[in-house]
Amino acid sequence: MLKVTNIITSILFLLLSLSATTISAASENLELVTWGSVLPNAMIDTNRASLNVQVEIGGDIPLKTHITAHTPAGNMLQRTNLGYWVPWSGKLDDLIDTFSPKSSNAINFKIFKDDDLSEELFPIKIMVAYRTATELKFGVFDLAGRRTQ
Amino acid sequence: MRALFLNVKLSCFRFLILAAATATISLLQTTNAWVQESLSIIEVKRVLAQAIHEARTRGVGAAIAVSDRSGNILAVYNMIGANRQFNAAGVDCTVGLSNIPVGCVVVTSDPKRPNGVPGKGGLERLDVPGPVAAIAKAITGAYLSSSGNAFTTRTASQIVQEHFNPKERFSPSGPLFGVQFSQLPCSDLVIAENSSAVTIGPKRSPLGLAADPGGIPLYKNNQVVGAIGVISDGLYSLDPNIGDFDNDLDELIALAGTVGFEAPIDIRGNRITVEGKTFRFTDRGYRALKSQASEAVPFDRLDRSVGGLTEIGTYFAGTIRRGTAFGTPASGYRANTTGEYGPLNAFILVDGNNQPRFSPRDGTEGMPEALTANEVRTIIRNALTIAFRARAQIRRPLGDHAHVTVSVVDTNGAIVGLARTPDGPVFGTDVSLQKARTAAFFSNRNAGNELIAGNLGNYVLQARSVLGPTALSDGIAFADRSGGNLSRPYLPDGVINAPPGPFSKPISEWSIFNTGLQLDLVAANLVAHRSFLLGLSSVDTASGCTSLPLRPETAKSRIPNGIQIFPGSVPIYRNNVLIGGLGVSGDGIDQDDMISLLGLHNAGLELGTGIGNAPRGIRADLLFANGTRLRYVSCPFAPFLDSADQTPCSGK
Repeated sequence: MLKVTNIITSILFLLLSLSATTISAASENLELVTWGSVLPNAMIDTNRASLNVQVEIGGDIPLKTHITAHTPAGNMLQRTNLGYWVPWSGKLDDLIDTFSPKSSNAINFKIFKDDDLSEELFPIKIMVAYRTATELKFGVFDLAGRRTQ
Repeated sequence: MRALFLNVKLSCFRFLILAAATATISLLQTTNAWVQESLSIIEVKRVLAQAIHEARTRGVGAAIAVSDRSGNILAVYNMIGANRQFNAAGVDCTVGLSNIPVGCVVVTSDPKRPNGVPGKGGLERLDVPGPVAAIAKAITGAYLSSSGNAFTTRTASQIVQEHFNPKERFSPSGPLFGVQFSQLPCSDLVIAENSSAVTIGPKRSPLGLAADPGGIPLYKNNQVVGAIGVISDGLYSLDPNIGDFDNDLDELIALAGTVGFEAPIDIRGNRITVEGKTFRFTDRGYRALKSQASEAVPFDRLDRSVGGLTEIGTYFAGTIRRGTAFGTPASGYRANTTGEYGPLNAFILVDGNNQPRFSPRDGTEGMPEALTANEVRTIIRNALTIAFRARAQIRRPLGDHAHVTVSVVDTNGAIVGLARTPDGPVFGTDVSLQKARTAAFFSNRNAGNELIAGNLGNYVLQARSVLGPTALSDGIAFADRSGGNLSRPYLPDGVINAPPGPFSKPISEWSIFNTGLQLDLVAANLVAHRSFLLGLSSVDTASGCTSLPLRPETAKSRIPNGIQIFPGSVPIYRNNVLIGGLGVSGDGIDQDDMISLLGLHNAGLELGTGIGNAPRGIRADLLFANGTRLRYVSCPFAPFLDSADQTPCSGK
């Protein structure tokens, strides 16, 4: 039988929603780590995508927050604090602070809000990250698209 | 709605228009010399009908897939009764797809042992639906072939085994040893969506490349337009014995499908030699067919009791579609029009909006030594220049130049540039990237720690027992040929009874379906994809292979399309600092090696910025393993069409 020596230990959950999708630390105990955590995959309605990700920060004191996207076509983008997606060089020093809100030991990353992704290829690789005084912690997940009429 | 990815595309498009208007480089040879061919829906139906007719004449069922050259699956048809009802464990493995009962096939490294070989491990004894295997075989036939060479899955079988030729004792392994684990469903380069709405390629293959005979390319007017893949015997295997000529049902049925779309005789594998050995195209010719193609029942008149079109996950939606013309934007491959590679007839990958996917850009490390976009551009141009000068090994007619894909990555594995010659086999797109990343990864001082973090520390321990306690953390420069030496089931390569390389399974467990580190890095991804295709899981494999630590710059590991273990890459240095990898794939492995080494060397001379090959004092060919010296690169003798230079790599 198939011998698997390196099964990804994270359990991946597929969340289906035609409105807003939230990947929440409350239900999944999501944390970001310096070597990159694998977050639950998500699926969105491509015509009207809304997605939030909430992660726990433990005792960390985040100074900046970041959101990036890698598309199948090879584009690298990052989200600004105003919600625009702009090209990113791929260099960490060029990351823009998204000023994602922190509350009760968690950060709420707003990835999409009513965005039209109907022309995009999937899966899109999303990274959320925060920077403390000493390190960058991040997590990634695949965003799949559900095309509706 | 405040932000759209589409806005970014539009702004990029405006930028490109501006750049084109101000460019001063003359644009030469950027149009295709040939008429670009493709398969129509009528032709796809004809291929299917002919194959079905042969299968019915022989009294068997078959799963049949047709692909275009970019990997778009144009049709999947499953005949009632095809393949197996029970898997290797005796469990019913049939599934209902599109209301068609679909049999399974079992992976076995010995076709005489239909339930697999005990103890082999890896993918051995795995079962998948027949159409899934047929897709892998069709993609293989399409991806390995070009207008200069027609290779089949039987050719693949010949060049991936532990000896070349198979069973030729003490001869080294096949030149494309390990290529079966490319085009993987988790690759971040290939396009996962496969539909009439998303035609750009290259596309992924559910099982990587196939070595099971029955995948044969399709041609129109001397151009490869796709391939047919057939599986009917319930076994996803290989041909371990090249000393005979089989009556392989899969191959015969596929061959019938190719009538009217035959590969030109002069470019078939059996007209092409490597190391003095001819490749095998098929074991039987058209005279061995039992049916007449002209008597095939037209596809549209086939009764439902024969079988039907079969939906398969992300690969085929159940409706036959036409193929794309390779080299047009719809295929995802087209001529470069920016002039950034000088007058070379370079081709690039484009997205669905006809915008370049991998234009040269800076490395992502943020360190002063990182690659710059101009350096990437110069490296690719110099590598392609060598390719256009190099005498092709695997193409006809004699005197043609090599056709390859060239990939450049930084140390994070980020793709910082990719371009190709017009007719390079498509498989080289993903493989050149695997090679570039593999060289950069194993040359990185973090390689050992990251493998340990990915629960693959056993391979690190094995490497250190052979190469010394600092292996994979001491900055030794590994070309893919070096890492390949360590990935063979015999080290020295081909020497029977020699111990395995530290990245390989011992020969008792080894097979092409259980190579060692190469498979173990991606096994979980393959399992996840299989479960997704079977409907056992709603979650497909992630885009980005392996469970190694992720890089924030890429959101993936450093090797997100897996590693490759046959030659054709070098790590890139700025003076003594590792800054990336250069991978080449598409021609003979010595040619690929040469294009890598000399392309980088010449770029370094042109740039004068410290860019170049690894200092000779840190190259892996200083290391000994099992009493044999590792190799770095191996270049062909007298390789050029325009020069009598005998040993161009000497001293580089």
